[in-house]
Amino acid sequence: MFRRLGGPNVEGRWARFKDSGETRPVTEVALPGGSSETSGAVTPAPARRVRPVHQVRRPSLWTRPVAWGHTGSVPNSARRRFLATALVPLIGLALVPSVLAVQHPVNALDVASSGADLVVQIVLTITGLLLLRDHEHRRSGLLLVLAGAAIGIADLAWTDLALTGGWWLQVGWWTHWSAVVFLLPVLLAYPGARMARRNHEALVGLMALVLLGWRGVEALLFHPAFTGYDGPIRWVSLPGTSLELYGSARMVGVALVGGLCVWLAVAMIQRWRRARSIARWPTRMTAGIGIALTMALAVRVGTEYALERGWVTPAWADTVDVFQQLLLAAAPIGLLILALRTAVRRGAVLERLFRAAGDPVAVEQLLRKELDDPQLRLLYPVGSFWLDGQGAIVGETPDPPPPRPGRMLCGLCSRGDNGSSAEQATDASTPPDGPNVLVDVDEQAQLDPVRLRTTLTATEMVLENIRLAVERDANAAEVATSRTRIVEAGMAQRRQLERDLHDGAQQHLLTVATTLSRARMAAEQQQMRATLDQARTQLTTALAELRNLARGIHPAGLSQGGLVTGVRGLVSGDQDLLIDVGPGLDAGARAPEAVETAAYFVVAEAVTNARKHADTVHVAISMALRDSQLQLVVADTGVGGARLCPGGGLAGLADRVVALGGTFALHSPVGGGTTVTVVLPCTGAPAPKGARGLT
Amino acid sequence: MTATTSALNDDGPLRVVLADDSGIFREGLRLLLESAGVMVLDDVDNVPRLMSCVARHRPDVAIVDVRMPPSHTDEGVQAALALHRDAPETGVLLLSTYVETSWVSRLLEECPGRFGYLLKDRVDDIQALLDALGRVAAGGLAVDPEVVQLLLTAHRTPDPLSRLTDRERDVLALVAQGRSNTGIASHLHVSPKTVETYVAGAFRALDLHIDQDDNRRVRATLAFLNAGNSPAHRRASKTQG
Repeated sequence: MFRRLGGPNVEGRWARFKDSGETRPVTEVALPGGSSETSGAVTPAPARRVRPVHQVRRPSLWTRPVAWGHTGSVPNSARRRFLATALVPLIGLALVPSVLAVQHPVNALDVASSGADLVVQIVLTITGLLLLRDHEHRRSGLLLVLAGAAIGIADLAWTDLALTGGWWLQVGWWTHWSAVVFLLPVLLAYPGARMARRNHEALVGLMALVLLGWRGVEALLFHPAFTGYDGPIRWVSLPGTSLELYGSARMVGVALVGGLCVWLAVAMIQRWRRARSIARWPTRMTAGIGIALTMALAVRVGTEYALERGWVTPAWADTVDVFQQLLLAAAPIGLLILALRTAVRRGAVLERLFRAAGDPVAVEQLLRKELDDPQLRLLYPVGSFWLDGQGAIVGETPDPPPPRPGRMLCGLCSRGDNGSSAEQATDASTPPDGPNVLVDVDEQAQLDPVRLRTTLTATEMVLENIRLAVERDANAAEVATSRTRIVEAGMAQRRQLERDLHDGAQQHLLTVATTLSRARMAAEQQQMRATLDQARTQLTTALAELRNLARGIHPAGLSQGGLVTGVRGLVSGDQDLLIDVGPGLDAGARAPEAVETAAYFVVAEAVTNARKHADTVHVAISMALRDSQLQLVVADTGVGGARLCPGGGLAGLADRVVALGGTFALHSPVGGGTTVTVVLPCTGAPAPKGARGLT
Repeated sequence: MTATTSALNDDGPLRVVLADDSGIFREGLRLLLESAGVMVLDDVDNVPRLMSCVARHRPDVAIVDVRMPPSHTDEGVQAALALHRDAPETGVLLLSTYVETSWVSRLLEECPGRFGYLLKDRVDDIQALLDALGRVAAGGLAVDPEVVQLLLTAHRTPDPLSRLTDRERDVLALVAQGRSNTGIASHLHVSPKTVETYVAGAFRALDLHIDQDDNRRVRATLAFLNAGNSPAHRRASKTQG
């Protein structure tokens, strides 16, 4: 097929026999397509050769679903063995004619053509075998192998066999275009499993009818005897045919192929324009190949028509043939590139995935890039929720969340036994245990089913890692929030305790004070008044102690006036203490209550420590609220050497700060003073509104 | 008894209302005040009732607890500000369980008179209580000594107060509580003339120029002391020190 095209290859064959000195008579054969041309002496450069083609169309190949496609199952070994036993002899046999044609060349051009045919045949076969590995492409792979075989069969016309008798020449002539018939469904489907459009199927069917059926009719209307040949070659002809009839049929064929070429060109251009998503590149590649093939066909029929009309010379037609062959060579090479790319790619994806495994975000990024889908998400079941890679809840039931419009959910299972689980969830049915991870992917990813499947299957290999990482992160986040909740609950309890003290014991004691006061007013005796004064003094002491206790549990000034007020109340009367109120706080801004309380107690503890242990002369407190962070530094000029010891006051406060998501740093070199630095994030709710305003 | 007499103003007994969310304390205070000759018109447990009660009775003084429902933070302070706006003829005596200086400056800015701020502990000293009530009812100021003390000590070095003698400082603290020169004199057992000298000396040392109007000089003193807490002053003193 990829050889230069021309009339039945009688003349060239003959020439070779003539040159080889055989006794067989040289018959000058007129070109069936150009009957006006006399069958003169054989020229070194053969004129157009036309090879009849015969190939029974098997519509089942592109209408019946291929048994192992789209089922999600992988062909069993018996089917593989059948395929191997059927294909290997076919491939082997199909190579024979091409090899023979190369071995016995008529001339240099013939060597080139036959050699090119052989190369193309091998390339198509290799590509076909590569595609056979993926069940989605098994049909395409098989068609490519058949196309390669068809080229071999067409090359029958170029072997010695064809000149020694039999119907070989007719068979070769007939099957000349059969490879195109096998190639077209691949070019219209790849990277999909099959053609997506009915009109494409109709186009392929009509092409097969014309290139095989009508060409068969042409072959039956021809006979070598029309050219005066009388040799051992056998040819099946219809009774009553004539050269004129053949010529008319030929022109009809030319017209039909020309018309279908237009349709084909439109179909391929549409395919190019509609290419999208991950299938864009391979679709455009096959569409490009298809356009080249269409041009080759069009050039061929155009040349034939022009020759018939006598518009061009046969030599010119030969030149055009070279151009046409170059176009045709694009098909197998382009397809091989596509197949190799797929094969190389899947290895690279796996390697990148292994490298990213353990980092769910990196895996997600990788899949987004690989499947050309910036909205792709991985969804993980954690507990009875579905989380995305950032830990946000996307579904609150154990059942998978519904897919978003235009998108689908693919379930991945690390327990998958045959790597086919990716498809099982594609049709929304979940495996018995439920998927370990869901992939939220654009529905258009199905345009390249092999890339989708291989990428998802590769992901399944690292699934356990990323799932565990997400679970770990979710658990860590849960632990952190529960710690915060516990600390906040503890603070709320202290606040409640302080209020209970204030509303209960303190009010009762104050009431006692009023009663004592009344008693003292009413007391007549000096001694009684003295005793009551004593009781009053004792009560005042008790009240003061109670007040200090309540303040230690939860400073009332903190809730009312905020951190600055609370700290001022804490250290009031301390002459050697400096308070620096930084940005935010000096404008009266408030941090969340839990943050303020934690900061307050850090200051209280640090100041107490400074006073108690550090032989301190000066203490400086610096507070600021900026960028939603409360920054707090308490520094003294004491002896230093402070440490966080378990169970100690500072250690407890450090825990509390960390539980609120903050950082706690203690810098205390011996002799170098002590500095406590605390940063607390203020992301929670601010302090109660009623507590604002008066500072 | 002196207590009883001091509870009387020109028009008869002092008329007050009580607002405190603790019923038992309210009851105790009511009994105490009534036995001291103060007329307790009503006692309530929240701010809205206090407002309507004041509107109805027009008392001389409303005794208001700082912490009341709903938030138990500073409802009493807000109520004091509201009363000053809505019922200027009624004085407000705030009672607080804790010493809290942060409100004082703003309250003094908003309420030029008829205002007092006492620790609840003072209820054990009926004389001090009546004294404060009397001053507030008369349109004056009454600030708890502990609050004044806190403001004094919170003042930072280099401290203008260090320029004062101990005696001048004591007198200034009494001025800040809202006492008159006569009151200070009797408290310190010296002659009013001596007190005047101390006050004048202290004001000179502090560059305060004020006349003899009690409220104005109290407020000026408190404002001055309170300035020790203001950021501007603190920064200035920091750079100096």
